[in-house]
Amino acid sequence: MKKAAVIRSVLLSIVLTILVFLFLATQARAEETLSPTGSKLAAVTVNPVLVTSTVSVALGADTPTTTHVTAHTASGKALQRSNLGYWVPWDGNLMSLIDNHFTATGGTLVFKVVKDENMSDELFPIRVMVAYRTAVAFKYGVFELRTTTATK
Amino acid sequence: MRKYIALVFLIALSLACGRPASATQQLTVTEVKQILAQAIQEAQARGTPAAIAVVDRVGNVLALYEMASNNSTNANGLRSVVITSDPGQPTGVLGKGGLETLSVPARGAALSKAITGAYLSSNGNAFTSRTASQIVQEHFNPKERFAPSGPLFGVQISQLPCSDLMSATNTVTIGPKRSPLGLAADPGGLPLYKSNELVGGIGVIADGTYSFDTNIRDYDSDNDELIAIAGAVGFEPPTGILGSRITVEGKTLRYTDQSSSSLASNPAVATAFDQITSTVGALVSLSTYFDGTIQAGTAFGEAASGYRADTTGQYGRTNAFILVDQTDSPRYAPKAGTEGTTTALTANEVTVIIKQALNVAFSARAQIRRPLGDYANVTISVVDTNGAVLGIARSPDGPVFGTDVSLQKARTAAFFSSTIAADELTTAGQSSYVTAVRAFVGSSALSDGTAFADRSGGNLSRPYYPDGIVGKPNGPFSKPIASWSPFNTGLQLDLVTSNLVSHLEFLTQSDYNGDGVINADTDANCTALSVTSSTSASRLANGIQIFPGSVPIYRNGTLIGGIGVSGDGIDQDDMISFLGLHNGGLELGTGVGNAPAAIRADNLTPQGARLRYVNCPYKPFLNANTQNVCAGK
Repeated sequence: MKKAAVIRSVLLSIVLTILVFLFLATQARAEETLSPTGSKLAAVTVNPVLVTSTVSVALGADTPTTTHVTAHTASGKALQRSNLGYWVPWDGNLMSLIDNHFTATGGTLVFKVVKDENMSDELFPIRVMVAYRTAVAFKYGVFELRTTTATK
Repeated sequence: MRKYIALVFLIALSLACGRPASATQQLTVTEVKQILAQAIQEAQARGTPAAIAVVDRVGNVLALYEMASNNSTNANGLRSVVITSDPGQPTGVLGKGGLETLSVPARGAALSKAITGAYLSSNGNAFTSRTASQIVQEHFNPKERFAPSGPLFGVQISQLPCSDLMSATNTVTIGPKRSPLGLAADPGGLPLYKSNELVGGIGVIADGTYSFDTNIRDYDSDNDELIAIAGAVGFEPPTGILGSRITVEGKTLRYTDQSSSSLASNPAVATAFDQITSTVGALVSLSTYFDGTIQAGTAFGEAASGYRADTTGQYGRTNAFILVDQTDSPRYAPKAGTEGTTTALTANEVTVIIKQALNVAFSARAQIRRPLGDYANVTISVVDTNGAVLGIARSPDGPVFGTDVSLQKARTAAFFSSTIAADELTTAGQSSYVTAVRAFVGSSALSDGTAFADRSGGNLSRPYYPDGIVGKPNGPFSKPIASWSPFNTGLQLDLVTSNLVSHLEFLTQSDYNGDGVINADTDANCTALSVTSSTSASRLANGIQIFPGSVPIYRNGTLIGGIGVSGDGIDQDDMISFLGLHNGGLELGTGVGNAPAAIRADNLTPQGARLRYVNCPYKPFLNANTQNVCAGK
């Protein structure tokens, strides 16, 4: 009886783990690649009241030395993400980009674009750039954050 | 008594020479219902079920209404109309391509017409979608053989749903709002006024085709237009500013072909909107535009409209206007270029260039405004070579369409003057135009650094070269005349067609291009050009424009951006951009200015006909007799 309970508990844990994994998988994006001429990445729709967005990038043979995230809002603001996760004004100059210190794992680089942020004061869509530098190149990709509440 | 007369004179003078800096008029929900009720009654009297749209001056949709009809619907039950340059053949004229024969939602077509009435007008000029029809065709006037093309040739491809400038949501009221089909040339879009102030527009479509009027020599009895006229009764513009009181190149513009005297109903006795039964029709929604509930309009010039007076004094005057976001923060305050080079524009240089351009505008005699003696009202945009917006400002009463168009013009000048234009167009799948322009102009075209003003590129974008000369071949950026129409212009349209199709698929949830996929809404980033890392968008993120009013910006011979102007006559727009930049350069003394004369496109003579750079009015200023003001600069 006790053994059966343990098995039930283990099975339940496995099912829950799978469900959590599936949930996270739906929130994350399929792994994409960046390029020196700019990759166009798939748009992401979010609820502006609570926005979490990550981007996984396949690095191939690249070894990033710095990583960067920027955003252009529909109202014309140009921002970049600091390494502490704050959004600060950006002048559009690549030389003034802040290193976000994202680290690669197993050939994949995960950009934490935003986490649990209330962005309801921003005007959507927001165009996001994720980028990294290698010793020889600057590679980037762009996608659009859209809101689920574009229509009242 | 003398003092009294002097006071009256001063008041009259101030009314004649300027417009209120900030309008306070706006449409109420009751008034929107009145407009709808009047239009519905006229449509019933004519037995033509209509789709009706009402917007405010910045494009907020205040109502979308569709009358019950057995007319064609698409697979998802949306009533639809067909785009065609020949309403006699609604399935399209043989040989025409582009947007022709596309079936589009009637409510979207009505909305584009309403936006056209609102956006093309101001407190100094009242234009309609019929006026638009007159000024976008291959000749001005239409069918006047050998006359050059319309002065706003190509303006219909603006205010696009993919524009990065236009607001794309109905969750906020700030404008300008995007238009599902750009601007309309199909009669039936009229501006709406209260107490002589522009407050919005009405658009109607009932005839099943979204077209334009190819024959200006007759006076049509057009149901779309008549229903719109009925809706607008009580909200007419002052007679003195009607398009039919305004001339361009000596030709009188057309406001409407009929008047309220031709109505089949009496708007004064229209059944109250709330009493109209659901068997007649219903309010309808359109995703990202309207949720089905009638709204009140915004007051243009108040922050909620997205336009207000600049309070910083940065442009050296108190009556400059700027764009603001939903928190009342400036959207495009002057900033430095994003190139990261030593030659890039500084924020101060952008400020000075805009200030000087505004000075020219406030001094210039308006072409399209009444009363005579008013100054030009325009929007001014400055961009860098990445297409990044470095600043936008305007005079108080510039037509709203000029906001997006001035940015298109600035980007067009900067892009086509760059040495990467050919490669970029090829990347975007437009290599046939690169091949054509190189065969036409020279093998290094679009990569040799020739300075193209929008007037120059526009020369190459007409279905005849030279412009209007029947029998001559098309310019390399245009479709041949046999397949040309306002719905199939050439490179200008081809750059954004996929964006427009995505938007239509999103709105209708239909598969337009037969690829088995119903696309999500278009990005707020027009064209398939590469995205720049500095802007996260293409260098032409709101498309290109092909009528005059912009020049590229240089520093000691190096291309560093573009300035675009839109809102008054095209010669005035040319002058304000060219002279504003010239004067800004003189004030700055930092090497910033117009292109060196030796590299301007007017050195080129393809097919034996010289390209133009800018064309400034002969004696343009209100308070000076200066002539040939652009010569030698």
